[in-house]
Amino acid sequence: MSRAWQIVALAGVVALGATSCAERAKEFDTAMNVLPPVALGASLVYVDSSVQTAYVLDVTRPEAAPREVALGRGASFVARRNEHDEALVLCRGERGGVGVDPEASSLTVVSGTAGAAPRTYVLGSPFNAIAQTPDGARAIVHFRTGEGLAGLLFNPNEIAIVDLEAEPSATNPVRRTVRSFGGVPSAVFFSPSMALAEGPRTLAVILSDAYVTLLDVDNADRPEITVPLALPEDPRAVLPVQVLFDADDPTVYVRAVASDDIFALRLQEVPAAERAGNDFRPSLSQLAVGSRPNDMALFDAGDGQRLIVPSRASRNVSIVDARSSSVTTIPLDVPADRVLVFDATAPGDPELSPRALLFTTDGSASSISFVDLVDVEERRGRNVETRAIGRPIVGALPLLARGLLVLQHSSATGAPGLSLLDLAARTSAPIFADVPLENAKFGANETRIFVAPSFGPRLGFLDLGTFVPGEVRLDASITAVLPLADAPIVAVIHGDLAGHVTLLDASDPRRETARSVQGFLLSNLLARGDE
Amino acid sequence: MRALSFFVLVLTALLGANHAAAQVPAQPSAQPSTQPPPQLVPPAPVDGAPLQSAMQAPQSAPPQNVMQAPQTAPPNAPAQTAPPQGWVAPQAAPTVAPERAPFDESDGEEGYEDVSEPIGLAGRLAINATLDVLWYLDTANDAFARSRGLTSGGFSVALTTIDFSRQLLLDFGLGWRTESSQTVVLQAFNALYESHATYVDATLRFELTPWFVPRARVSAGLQYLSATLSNNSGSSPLDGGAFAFVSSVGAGVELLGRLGAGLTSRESQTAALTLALIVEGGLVVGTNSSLTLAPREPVDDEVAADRLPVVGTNIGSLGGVAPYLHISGALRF
Repeated sequence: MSRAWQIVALAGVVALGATSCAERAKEFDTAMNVLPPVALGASLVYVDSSVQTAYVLDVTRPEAAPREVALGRGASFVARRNEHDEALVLCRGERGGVGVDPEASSLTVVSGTAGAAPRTYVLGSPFNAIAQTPDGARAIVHFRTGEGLAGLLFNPNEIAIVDLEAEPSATNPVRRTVRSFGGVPSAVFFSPSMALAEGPRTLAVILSDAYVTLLDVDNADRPEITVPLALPEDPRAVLPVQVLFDADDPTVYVRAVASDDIFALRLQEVPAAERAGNDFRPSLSQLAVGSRPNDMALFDAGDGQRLIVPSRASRNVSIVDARSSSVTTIPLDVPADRVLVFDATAPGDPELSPRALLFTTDGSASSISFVDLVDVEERRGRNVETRAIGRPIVGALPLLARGLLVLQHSSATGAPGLSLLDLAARTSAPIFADVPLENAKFGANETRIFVAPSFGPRLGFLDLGTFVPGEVRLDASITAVLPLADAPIVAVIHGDLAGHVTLLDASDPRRETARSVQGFLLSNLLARGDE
Repeated sequence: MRALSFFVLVLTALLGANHAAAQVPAQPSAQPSTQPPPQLVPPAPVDGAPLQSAMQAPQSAPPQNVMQAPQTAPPNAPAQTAPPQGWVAPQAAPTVAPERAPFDESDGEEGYEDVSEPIGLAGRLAINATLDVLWYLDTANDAFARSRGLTSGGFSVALTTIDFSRQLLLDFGLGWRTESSQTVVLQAFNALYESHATYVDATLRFELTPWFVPRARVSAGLQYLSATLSNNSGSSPLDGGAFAFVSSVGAGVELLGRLGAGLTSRESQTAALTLALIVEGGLVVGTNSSLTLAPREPVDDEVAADRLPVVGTNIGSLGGVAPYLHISGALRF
């Protein structure tokens, strides 16, 4: 073989070999990790943590490409910022490795409005949970047990207090460690503005195993106050699970499992001369409400707030006056583990006054109890009325603005799946349904309720004014329904990994006016290799 | 890819063996040829010229008349066989191609022999089966292939249209090329890429030797590429396509051989089927192709009409710049 032929053969072999060996960009081999979307005013926010990107889809202009917002690594949680057209994305950062630089965790605020720059607050530690005040002004980022805690060294009682109204800075967020008795925070609750000595402020109540911690969010440099819920020698696992606030007579009510008491923390003023930090000091009192309270709610009794506490085990309901520590126990005809307080008229009583509905959702009872709360401590059982619903209740969805409660029954052939309970008339209208209420969402102005089945392409809805049901057939199975607050649109989420949303007219949901957006999570896919 | 490599190696070996065999008679240009004297094609009868005399004319010619170019012919005269004595040449021999100059041994090109016939159409038409390996520089193409290079195949035809001189030729051609690749992207989607390109090209060929022809080629054409992303979630695959203008410039060599005949015989090159192996490298420059994917239209018309209107998404642009290696096998007539 001549030299020329050898060169040709060699060139061919080299070329083909090079074709086989050249590797593509690794970004194309990274699996997508898309978090459940959240609805903002007129947009949907999807987060794909694999590409550190939030996709903001404007549902009023679905033909436009989704806006992409860069995030930190390890996005693990996304939620709507309360009372704002923004989403909070918690990114746990990157511990680092071969060829991968470490990255601190961060909280990114993604606006639903085009043109608004995202704000990223560097948190430092790989927190895995976030709680925010009802007005969305502040957030506490913390560790929660059992959700991917990792790290060579980490302090599970470290928290970061973020002022979401302020720009990120060296002092925002504030990182600190709350006092611990060996536990790890399980949840954080924020109070409404509490009437305290130095002025109304927001408190954070951090729940941990057998103790709670009070923290002045507006004065994050002040020491926290830790309140044990059980004696050190108490072997019970007193785990706080529910918190209520009385803002006028500053009191924090805590309900805990494995406890027969309600814990009332009255925030008493600390004399100015004695103040070393906080201007309040909690005074703990334990209110006996029978066996194992299952729920609690506050209502205005005219001369102050009262607590109403149902107990399924003792089949009664307790009315608690925290100021006097007096407890009034009222027996019930049917057990109840849920309480719903509402203002309404009643049959034979045209006065709009506070009333309570007591029921259970464990499927053991098919009756409910109405309690008129006016003078209940005097009238006791005479204020109780029991109504039969006809079928056991397994779920409830309140719609107090319309005076309705949607009750879900256990599924059975030929039996209604839902009941619409008129809280004022105390009547129920059966609705045949074979869908659970877990995925039910109210549309804008709460004129309709939309329910998505766990499988199948049909979206059910119910007109809450006429009780007329309907359904819309879509092109793919439904995984969630997200009504949008600032647009008359209901977004129906489908399970396509590439992103698939059907947009329905919330006021007139019909197939003829529906349209879909598909594949938007692959927007700019081809540019990923450039990163 | 192994099969492709094997094919190229086998093709290369075959042509190389053929070339090696053909080198034997091509060496001794000064030695007497052992081949029988060439058969002259009897010319058509001309008025007053007996056919018999024409048929007898070659008998008086020396046996080495091919290797011994006519001494009386000027070096750059048109390639015509010297008429034998007693033979009257036709008045107007039909020619199709520009006449070629006879070989001048003073050129020093070993083994290059005189061609005294116009080449006509023979040797000017080429049919190519092409194999291109393109290394796209844009990482966007990685979405559809596990390796950076894409292999394409196609066909083209070319016609030698302009003969600038005895050795410099210009071919114009028309070709079609297709490439496809399929892989898994994002560990979830089957990504399929296909393209079809139709192009015209111009190739400047320089016959350095009868078997070794350097060449340079430019091409331009229109490409339609399509992409499909699908997964097993039950949703419709996402389809899309785009047009792009593509052009290329490259240079390489063309190795010629004739199956069963000597390579150095110009007559064998021009008068019969010739096999060529073309190896060329260069650069493809194309416009970026913006791809918008939308769910595939259902096959059933009724289902398609019932489907909700859907908005697709733009997944970005595929770059069109790629160095390439072009290998083709050609048949020249």
